[in-house]
Amino acid sequence: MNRTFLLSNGIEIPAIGMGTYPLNGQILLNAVHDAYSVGYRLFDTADNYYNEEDFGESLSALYKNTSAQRDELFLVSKLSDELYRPGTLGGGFNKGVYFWKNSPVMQGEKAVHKVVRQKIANTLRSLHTDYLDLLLMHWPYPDYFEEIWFEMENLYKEGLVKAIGVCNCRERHFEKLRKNCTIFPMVNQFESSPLNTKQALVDYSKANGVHVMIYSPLMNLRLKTSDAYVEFLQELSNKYHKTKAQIVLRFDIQRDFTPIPKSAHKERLQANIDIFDFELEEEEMRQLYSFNEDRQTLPESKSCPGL
Amino acid sequence: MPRIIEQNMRNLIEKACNKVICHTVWYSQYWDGVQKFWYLNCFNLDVVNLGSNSGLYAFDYNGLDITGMNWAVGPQSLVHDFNVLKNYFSYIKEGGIVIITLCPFSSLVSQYSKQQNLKYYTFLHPATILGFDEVEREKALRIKQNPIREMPWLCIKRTLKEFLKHIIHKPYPKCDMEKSAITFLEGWKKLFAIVDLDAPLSDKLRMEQENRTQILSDLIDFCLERELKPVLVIPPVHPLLAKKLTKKCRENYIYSFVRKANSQNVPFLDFMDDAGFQRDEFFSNAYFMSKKGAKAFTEQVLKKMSVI
Ligand SMILES: NC(=O)c1ccc[n+]([C@@H]2O[C@H](COP(=O)([O-])OP(=O)(O)OC[C@H]3O[C@@H](n4cnc5c(N)ncnc54)[C@H](OP(=O)(O)O)[C@@H]3O)[C@@H](O)[C@H]2O)c1
Repeated sequence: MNRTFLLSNGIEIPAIGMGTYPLNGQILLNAVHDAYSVGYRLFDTADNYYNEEDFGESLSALYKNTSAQRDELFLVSKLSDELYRPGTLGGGFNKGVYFWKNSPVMQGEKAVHKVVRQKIANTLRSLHTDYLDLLLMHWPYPDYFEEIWFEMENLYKEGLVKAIGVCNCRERHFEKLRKNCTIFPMVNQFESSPLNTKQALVDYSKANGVHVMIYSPLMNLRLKTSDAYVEFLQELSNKYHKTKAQIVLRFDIQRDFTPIPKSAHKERLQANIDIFDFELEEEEMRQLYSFNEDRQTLPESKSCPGL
Repeated sequence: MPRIIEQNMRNLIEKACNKVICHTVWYSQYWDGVQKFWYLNCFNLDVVNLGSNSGLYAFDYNGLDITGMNWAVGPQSLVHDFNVLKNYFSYIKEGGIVIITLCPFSSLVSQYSKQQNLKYYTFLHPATILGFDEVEREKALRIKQNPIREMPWLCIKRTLKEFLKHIIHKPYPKCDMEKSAITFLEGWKKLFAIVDLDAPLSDKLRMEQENRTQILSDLIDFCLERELKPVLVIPPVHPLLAKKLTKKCRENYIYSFVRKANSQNVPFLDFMDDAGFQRDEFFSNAYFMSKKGAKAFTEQVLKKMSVI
């Protein structure tokens, strides 16, 4: 099984990565170090995780203390609205500051252009790098969806980012972009699991050369679900001597996705990447698909109304 | 008593009080019934209805062989119906039905007080809250988190009152439907500054109607783009109220509005004079349906839509 996939522009993307939300400070620094040492090369952050600076410090420590080099890493960040800071009233929820028509920030001329430029400059500075491997639009913000994409195309053409993509997009979003874009998104990052297979979207992505990244790949294990699902995961877990988390991540890999599980614990980071030495049988995959109930842990319309 | 113990005791008492408060009718009315969105965890809904108070009282999906939810919030305007849908449509299954409940004056703009707007901060994304104000957001979230701490006197007074009412249990007086119909009509006339319901719309109201026409049309498009099935529905009103909404008035305020907005020709079900909903028992007043009425009406709508 491949440990990398090729994006439509020929760039290689690792088959698994590490999510970083909501890690920061020393915990993030340790996690990045641990992740690198067990084999992770892809790290996923965003401008509204409030950890880009700390992540940059973690990378500096990594370059200093290990043989790690920038060009072997695959750094992903996103253009986003702001969140209320974790720990504050309503923390973690969207603020409606960037990329919403009625926000004061978006009133000036060329507002989208200015915001995007400012955000990418911040991200690159924070991450101590002069390019990103992948820049994603965090949500298909309905008021400025195409304009943001246009700005991202320009960043790509200027070489500031090696690949561009979107998150949480459905077929209708791609079709909207298709009308005017000069570069089709290379990646779509969304939530999926056996409980939420989104097969039609996956088929569309494959047919259109869009690579799929999976966020919150393990959250489904925390949901109250059918006994049958839990029992089947246990059965597979016993058979392959792997944890349920590893089974679920393996399911993603066999669908040709790049999952980005987050953990602050070295053993879990290690376990989450230790999924390349077994293969689920076709019938087992089929059975996992059968548990689909379109269950979202992060309901899309609540995060980005009108998307 | 050491401070930490005092603090823990205080927290415990607050928690217990809040638990009681959250189960009271007055508290639910304080938030205009939006708590259903706070704990929403049901995906793949077959059908939902939007709407203001008339929708809130007209739909009840309990006991039916489908998963449906009443998403009406009262009082609210069409703009907020749209915002509710924008925020929550991910919970509806592909091909699910969205009932857009219209009432006699859906085509006009009503003004809402700060208090009426407060609820939206507890369940809508900030970008979809009209006149968003950070101070109001914090106020709303603090009350939601800990009502007894934020408004102790109101909580104690209203909860005690409800408790006493429960013990004394005075039966509700029967509604005088004629009086109720007049009260509603006069209320609307005052709210929208209408002198004669049969006269053509004033310039101001015509402009409002044009604006609302666009919103309804966008709302319909929004559903269709997402493979949801929109249906426009006017619930029954008591015959004494229906009689007062003349042909001309309906044409001015409802039918011409629907015709202009519904260029996509989605189903439009008008139950205002429906022969099956003439009896008093189906209404709690001239405008709102009773529980019995809502059950019968919901079933009727879904049958018409061939969903059950
Ligand atoms: N594009 C988007 O819209 C979007 C949205 C959400 C998230 N994301 C990205 O996706 C990343 C991952 O998503 P997520 O953090 O929501 O969910 P996740 O990766 O599925 O992880 C959920 C939790 O599972 C625990 N965990 C990790 N490995 C485990 C294991 N082997 N066994 C048991 N538990 C384990 C972790 O806790 P511990 O840390 O305690 O181990 C973590 O908090 C985020 O960090 C972020 O980078 C993107």
